[in-house]
Amino acid sequence: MAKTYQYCVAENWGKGFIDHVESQRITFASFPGNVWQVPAYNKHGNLWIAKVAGAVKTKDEAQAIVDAEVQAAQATWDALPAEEKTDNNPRPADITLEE
Amino acid sequence: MATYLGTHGSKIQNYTTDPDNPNTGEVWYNETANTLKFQYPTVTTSGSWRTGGTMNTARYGIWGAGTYTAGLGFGGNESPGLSGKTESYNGVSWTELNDLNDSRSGLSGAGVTNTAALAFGGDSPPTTTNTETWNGTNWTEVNNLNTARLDLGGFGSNTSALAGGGSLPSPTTADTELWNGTNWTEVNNLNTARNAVGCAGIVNTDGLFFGGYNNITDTESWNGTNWTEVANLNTGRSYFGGSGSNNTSALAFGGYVPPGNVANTELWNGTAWTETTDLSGTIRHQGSSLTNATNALSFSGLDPSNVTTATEEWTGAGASVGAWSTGGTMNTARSGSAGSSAGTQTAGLVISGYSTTVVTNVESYNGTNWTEITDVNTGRGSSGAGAGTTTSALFSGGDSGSPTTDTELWNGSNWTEVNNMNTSRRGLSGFGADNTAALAFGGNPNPSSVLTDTELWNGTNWTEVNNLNNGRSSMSGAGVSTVGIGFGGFNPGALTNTETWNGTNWTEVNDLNVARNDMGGCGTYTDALGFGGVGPPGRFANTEEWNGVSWAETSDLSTARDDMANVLGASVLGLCAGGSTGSATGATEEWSATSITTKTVSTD
Repeated sequence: MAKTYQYCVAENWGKGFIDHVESQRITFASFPGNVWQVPAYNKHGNLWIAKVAGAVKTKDEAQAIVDAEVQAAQATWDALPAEEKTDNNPRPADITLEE
Repeated sequence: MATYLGTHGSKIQNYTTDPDNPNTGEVWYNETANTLKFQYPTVTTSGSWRTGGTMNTARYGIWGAGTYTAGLGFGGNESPGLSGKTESYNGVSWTELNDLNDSRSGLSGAGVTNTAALAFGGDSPPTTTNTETWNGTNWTEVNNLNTARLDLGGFGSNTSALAGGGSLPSPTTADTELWNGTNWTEVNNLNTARNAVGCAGIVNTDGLFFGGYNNITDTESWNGTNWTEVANLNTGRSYFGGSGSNNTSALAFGGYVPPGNVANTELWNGTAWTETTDLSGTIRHQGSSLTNATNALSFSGLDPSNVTTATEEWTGAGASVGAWSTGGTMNTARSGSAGSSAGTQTAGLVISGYSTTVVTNVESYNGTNWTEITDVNTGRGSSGAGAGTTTSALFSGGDSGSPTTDTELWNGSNWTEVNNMNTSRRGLSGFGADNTAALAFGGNPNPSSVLTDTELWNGTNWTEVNNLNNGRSSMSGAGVSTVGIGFGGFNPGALTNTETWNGTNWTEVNDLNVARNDMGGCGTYTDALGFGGVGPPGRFANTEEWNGVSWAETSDLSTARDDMANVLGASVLGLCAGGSTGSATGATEEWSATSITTKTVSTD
C-alpha cells in the first residue's frame, strides 16, 4: 500500500523550524517524542526534513517512540490523586500513526 | 531596445540565494540556480460558502441587489402575506429600512450597491408593471414596465437596468425591456421564453440569463442589443440565486429541481459552467446579491419547506490563505498561563502558569525571542485571566493552591497587587486593552460547578456585570472590555457555544464547528481566531476563523495542544504560546492570515 505520510524525529528549535511558506505548502503534525509527520512522496516534505536535519523513521519506528512517550504520560496521569483525574484533565489517549 | 529597467523602472536584483523576506510582486534572479523568481500571494484554489448574518424577516420570492458587504433584500412572500420589507446587509448583519410602496413577491430588481437600486414587476397581485427606485432611504414610484409579469429576471443598476422573461402569469414570455433611468423600452427578445431564471450583470449592455422553470439549462448572453445562446448549465433549475458582473463572470446557486431543492453551485467563466462548492444547505426562491461572482450572498428563501432567514456568503477562489509557522521557544515550558490579550505577535507577554509546578515566571516576546522579565507576586496555574500589553497588563484569578481572586497590575516594570476580584475562580477567561479596562468571565470555583459570572475592571476595582448565558470554565476569548467574544469551554464536556459581549450583555451567536475547551484565541469580536484545545477524542490542532457572524475552519496548528496562553495578538498576526501536549511545552506558533510563495519563472 502506498504511504500517505512520512515521519522523522526533529527537535523544534523555534522560529524558522516551520516557516509560513512551508506551512502553506504541506500539512505538518507533531506527536510526542519530537515525532513529525509530513506528506510522503512530497518534494516540500523532503526539503523540510532535510532543512531540520530530521532523523527519518519508518512508521513502526515512529509509532514505538510515540507509544513510549504516551505510556509514560499515562503512568504519570495514573499516579495523580483522584481529584485531579477530572473530565477536564483526561488520561492521555493512545495515538495510532497513519501509514 | 526596451529594457526591464526602462519598462518597469527598476533593475532585477541578483542573489546567490533567495532573499529572506521578498515583497509580494518582487522579481529576482537566483544566480546559483540560474533561475528567475518572483513572489506572489498564496490564495485559495476553490471558493466556499459560510454562514452570514440572519435576515430580520423570513420570506421567499425576495429579490436582491448590491454586494456581499453592501447588500439589499426587498419584497417577497412572508408566508402568509406579501412583503414590502427592505433590509440592508453590511457584511455582518441585516438592518430593516423603509418598505417598498407596493408589497409583492416574484419581483425583480437591479442595483450595484445597497444605496441605489430598482425594483420592478412581480405579483402584488395582480401581476404588476410597477417600478420603484431606491435612494438608500426611500422607495419612489417611477415609470412602469411595458409588460406586467412575475418571476422575471433582471440586472443592472437603478439608471441602467434590464428586465427579461417572466410569467404573465401564463404563458411565460421572452420579452426584454431596458431601463435608462427614466423609461422602459422594449428591445430584442430572449431566444427562449422562461421564468424563474438566474441573472448576472451591472449595466444593461452586458449580462447573462441562465436556467429557468422546467429544469431549463439554457444560458443566454446579452450584449446590449441581442441575446446569444451560449453553453448550458450542468444542472437545469429554477427559483435560484445568481450573481455576476457581466456575461463572462457569473455564479449560479441553489434552486428548485423537482421534486426538491438543490445546493449545487456553478461558476461561469464566459465559456462554460463548472460545478464548484455547494451551498451549506439546499435552498430555493432565495434572494441574491447580483453583481459579483467572487463575493456573493444567498439569503432567505425556502429550505425546502420552511421560510428561512438564513444567509450564506460566497468567497470565490483567490482568497488569502493563512498558515502557522513556528516561533521562538519560551524559556520555561508551561500550560495554563495568562497572556497579554492586547499584545501583538511581536510584543506579547506570557504570565505565570504550570510547568511541573506552578511558576511565577513572566516572559516577553519580541517576535523572535522570549525574554524573562519580572515575576508576578503570586504564581497561579489553571488559566488566570490576562489583559493588556507588554507595558500595561493585568493578571487575575487562577489557581494558587485553590481558586483565587488575586489581581496584579503590570506597569512595564513591576507587578503590583491591587484590588481583588469579587468571585474566586480558576479556569476563567479574560481580555482588555490595558491595565485600566478589562473583562473576566466564566471559570469554576470548585471542580463540580462552573460560573456564568462576569466582572469588569476599571483600573481600580472589579464590578460584577451581566452574566454569560452559558456557564462554563476553560473558555477562550478575544476583544476588549467593551466588545468581545467568548467561545468554547467546559460544562461538563467540551462546548461549541459562542457568545459576544457588547459592553453590557452577552449574546449567543453561531457556534464553533469543533467542540473543545482550553483553546487559544486572539483578535476582536468581529475578526477572531480560535485554535487548539481539548475534547473528545483528545487534543486538537484545529484552527477556526470568526468573521463577526460565523466560524470557518482554516489551517491547523502544527502541534495539537490545549491550555495555551489565552488571547494573544491580532487575528491576522496571532500567537499561540505554550500549552500542554500531554506535558507543558514552550513551543510557540505564529499565525499569518496571508502567506506568500516563491515561484520560478517557467521557461517551458
